[in-house]
Amino acid sequence: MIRSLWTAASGMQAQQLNIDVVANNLANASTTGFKKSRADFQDLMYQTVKTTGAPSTNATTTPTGIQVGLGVKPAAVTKIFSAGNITQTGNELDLAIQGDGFFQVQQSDGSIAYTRAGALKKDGQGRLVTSDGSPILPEILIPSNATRVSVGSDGTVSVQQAGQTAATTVGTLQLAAFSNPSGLNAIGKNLFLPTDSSGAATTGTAGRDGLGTLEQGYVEASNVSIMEEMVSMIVGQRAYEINSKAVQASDDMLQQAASLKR
Amino acid sequence: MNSGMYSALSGNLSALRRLEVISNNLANANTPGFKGDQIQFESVLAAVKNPTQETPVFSNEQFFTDYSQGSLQKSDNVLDLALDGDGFFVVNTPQGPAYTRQGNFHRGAAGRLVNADGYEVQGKNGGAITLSGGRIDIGANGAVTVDGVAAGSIAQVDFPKPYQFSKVGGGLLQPANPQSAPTPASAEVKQGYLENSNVKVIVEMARMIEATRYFESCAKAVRSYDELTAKAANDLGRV
Repeated sequence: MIRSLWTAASGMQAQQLNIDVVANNLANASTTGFKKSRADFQDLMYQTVKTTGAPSTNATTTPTGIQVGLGVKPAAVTKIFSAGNITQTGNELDLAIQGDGFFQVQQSDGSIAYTRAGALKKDGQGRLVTSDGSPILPEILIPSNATRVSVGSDGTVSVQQAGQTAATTVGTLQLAAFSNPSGLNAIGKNLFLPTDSSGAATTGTAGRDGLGTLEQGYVEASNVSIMEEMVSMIVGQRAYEINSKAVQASDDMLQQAASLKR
Repeated sequence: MNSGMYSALSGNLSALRRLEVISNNLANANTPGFKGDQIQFESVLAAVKNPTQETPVFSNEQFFTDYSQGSLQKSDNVLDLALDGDGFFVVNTPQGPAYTRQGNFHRGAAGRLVNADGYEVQGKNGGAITLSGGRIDIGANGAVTVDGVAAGSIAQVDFPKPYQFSKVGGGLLQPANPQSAPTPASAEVKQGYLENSNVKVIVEMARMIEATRYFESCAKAVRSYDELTAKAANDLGRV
């Protein structure tokens, strides 16, 4: 009926998505290894009322035409893989990746997922697992009589066993890298799956081939900056409000038009 | 019939179009690289001088896009690029090259640098830019280095001013005259920044108020003409 009504509605819808993304970022402000997202927008198609450069007389052309835009659309929700703060915990099974790379996690269906949340645990068999109990690959068994576990910056896991003076190496953690981490598919629980866009994972030793190093006793905090998100929220909310005003203005005009006929 | 009624009605129609343009600007107030549109109306003076002619008083619409630079906002993404200065990125679409200042690029399936719609971003030699590796640095002149190795250069072009583009959506622009040749641009590429929309929300709100009030007064004028006609038809003939 009146284009501006739908145009403004598309603006409200876009801002709603913006707030959805901000809300999820804020909800995960203290999730270990969480990577924030950002909604990106694009203008929608245009309706050309008068073509630019069309002849206005025999000798002249119109310098500018008239194009009425039809609103906005969400183009992408991009994951931003900047590093989060590395915070000290003192826990010997907390591992932070300083630099690029992901831990490999064996899922119950056999597939491999990837995570940067390095708050690892031991399960009943002594395997290194995530908080959900999914084993880390390559599998590392900590003997039950181990008194201390140490993880080197290259991922070498060694244990100190009771009654022994020398440390025993029980395995080496490997990291995976992607050519385009932003193309990874987030599946919740801090896990990511590879896609065509991210490319296949290449595994390697920590600290080599561009992979980051491991820090024992630290975890990587979420990379969400509360202040930035609050500002995004203010901007999004106000933009929503302003678009709702445009809906109101269109509605007022329609009302006026309807009341022309007495 | 009364020519004044149609003049007032033309005012209504132009107010409506103005609101449509304003709504689109407001809807894109957060779209990176968006350039706001403006519509202005010139009165057709001839019609005022010669009131017997039934031409609308407000018809000569002046439409233009404000190509001024939006503010640059820092983002943490290495593939967010902003142009500081005059110029455009070149994107290869199925309909030929399109130009944009929306620099939120991504890495595509084969490691190619693409925009949010998956269209390849053109390099200076005309081909795509392939990013295979970890650390990506993009210099002020658009030169791309991946892990310290040169990997091409991002093309940036300019056009003679005033710009004559038609917007094709998706943040893309195409020159209105297909023959117009791009010239090299001297804008500075800023990595990790995005150019905000150049829509000024306060100005748009003021314009929106103006448009609604204008519509209202035109509607009042139409109604007055209607009343006059009703009087002429019903009361004047009564003895």
